[in-house]
Amino acid sequence: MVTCPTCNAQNDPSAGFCDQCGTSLQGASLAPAPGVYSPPLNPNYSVGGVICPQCGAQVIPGEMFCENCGAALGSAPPAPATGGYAPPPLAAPPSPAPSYTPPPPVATAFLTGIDGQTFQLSGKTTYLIGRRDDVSGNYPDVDTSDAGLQAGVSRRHAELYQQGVQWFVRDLNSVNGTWVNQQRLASNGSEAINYGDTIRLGKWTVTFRI
Amino acid sequence: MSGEVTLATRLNRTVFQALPTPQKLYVLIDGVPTGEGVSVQMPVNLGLVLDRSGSMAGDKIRKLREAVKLVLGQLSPLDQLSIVLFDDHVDTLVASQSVTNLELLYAQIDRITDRGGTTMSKGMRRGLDEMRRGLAQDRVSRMLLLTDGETYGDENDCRQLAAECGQYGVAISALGLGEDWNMPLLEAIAGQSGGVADHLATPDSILTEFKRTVATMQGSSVRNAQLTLRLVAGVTPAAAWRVLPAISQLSQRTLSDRDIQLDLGDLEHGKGQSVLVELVVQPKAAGSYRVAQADVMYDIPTANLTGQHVRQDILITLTDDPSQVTPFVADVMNLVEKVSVFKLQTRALNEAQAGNVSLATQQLRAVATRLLNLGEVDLAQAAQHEANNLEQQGQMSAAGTKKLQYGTRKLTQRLDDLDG
Repeated sequence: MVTCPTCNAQNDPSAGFCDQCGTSLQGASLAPAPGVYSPPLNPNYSVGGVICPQCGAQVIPGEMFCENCGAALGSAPPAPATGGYAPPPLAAPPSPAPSYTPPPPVATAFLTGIDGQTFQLSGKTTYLIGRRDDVSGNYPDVDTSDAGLQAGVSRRHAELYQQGVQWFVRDLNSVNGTWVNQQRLASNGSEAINYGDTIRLGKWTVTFRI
Repeated sequence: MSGEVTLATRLNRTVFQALPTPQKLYVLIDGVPTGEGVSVQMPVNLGLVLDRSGSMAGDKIRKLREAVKLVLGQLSPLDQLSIVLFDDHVDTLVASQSVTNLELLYAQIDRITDRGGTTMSKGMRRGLDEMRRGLAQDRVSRMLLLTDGETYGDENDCRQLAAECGQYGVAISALGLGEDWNMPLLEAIAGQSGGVADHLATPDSILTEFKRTVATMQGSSVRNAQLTLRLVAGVTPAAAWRVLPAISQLSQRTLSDRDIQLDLGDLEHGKGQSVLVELVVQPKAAGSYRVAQADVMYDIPTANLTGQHVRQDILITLTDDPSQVTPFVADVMNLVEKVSVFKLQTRALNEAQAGNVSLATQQLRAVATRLLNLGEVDLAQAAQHEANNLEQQGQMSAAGTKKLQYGTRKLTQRLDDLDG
């Protein structure tokens, strides 16, 4: 039998790790420094001092999402070059709703391309769609640079804006034109758009959703 | 013989910080049948129990006929098929038989038309009776139960029949078409029989789902799989989730104070299952340890193999030096995140059902935010929409509830699986 250097449990000679405490039985380098190991605590040990920043519930270190409110708890790891995992941002705390208030106008809209690429629009009242151009300092809210150049999207092609609860698209005198559901807009003309409508800029097509 | 199932385990980091408090870590366990001996196509005993009530008229019944014909094309003379139709009466369209005379079967399928009300238990009773004639040790048996509405006054009979199906090893795939079916009932039927429930939003999805179910049955050469986790002292399991092929919570059987067992059921060739286990590890000094051993036991009836094992140690490394702590393992964390959204969504639906409108609304809004982060725009909008419904009308819509419940289960599915 092999005696575990950590907990003194007797193990089968072929065992790679102690059956009792999991310590490696191969080679001294992996064994913990003597005297540092403390025996396991009660599994019901209550965690003190670590709380969810969103709802205040107690959480266990290492927990990635709060069991109570679902908030993301992970701190951002050092960013790896590619393919790394970035925890989602902490959601804004829900505002208390003591009495009923009518819902605000829809403030967030989405444009989804045929390749599945989705642009989320929120926080402004007007959004420019076009191609980024560092030279002229043109930085549209919806940057079609990847596919837009080949599809004939102008640098400043069109804009989306909201009046009350209604969304509109306006062509900005573009070279290759703007369409809503197969209907071409007049130059500088605008058109109301609704959930599911198709918007085409040159040959670049997206679906509008709120 | 062994090696038919490949077992792989990964943690959410490779090197963790040694902490003075307990800490939680996540283990992803993949069990995939890959060996040559498991790539055979399994003979199946398929029972179709189909709702042909008046509400199925039109596109639904047309697509249903099409789907049944598609299924016929997937079957071979080794397979056993029965088809039972129910409204408030029940008819055996195809008595349990091997799939040999395709032309005759096609002609019978054309006779599926809509009529009458819905009494589902009659269909299930007849369906099970037919399927019992096709039961065999090396056949995968499954009942495909399709309905688009409520059954009338026989819900308890349906539950009892589902349990009886489970005893015969007939798992039920309970498929609800459209928005007007009884979700708790189909969930109970699936659960009692060891099967799954699913939501078919449109008649078109009948074809995809029927085809996929038969393919899964035919690929399930590894059966009765059980995952045992042998934990060392100071390590306790917090929860276990099946993450692939779809998210569901796995119930744990405690074998002893340090062993837990999870029933996995059938493993499909080349796909298998992935399980995410949350473990709480008590403080340990820096070093490398085994926290658990994963052991999958399984049978391969076609090769006359029972009680085969594959084992894998789950090791952690703890360090005192924060700079040595490795970044998160991206694909494990991605699954952790999806499971957490599923958990939160489940809690929100439960709170809404219990009448805790304000809490459920908050939770649904959090679900919407998290779904957006995952790029699930459609589901995020559904969650937001249902949060608004709850706030304004005090209840969620039936359609939205189903979309969320079944949509979040499939967050982990790869796109090619969805197409299949």
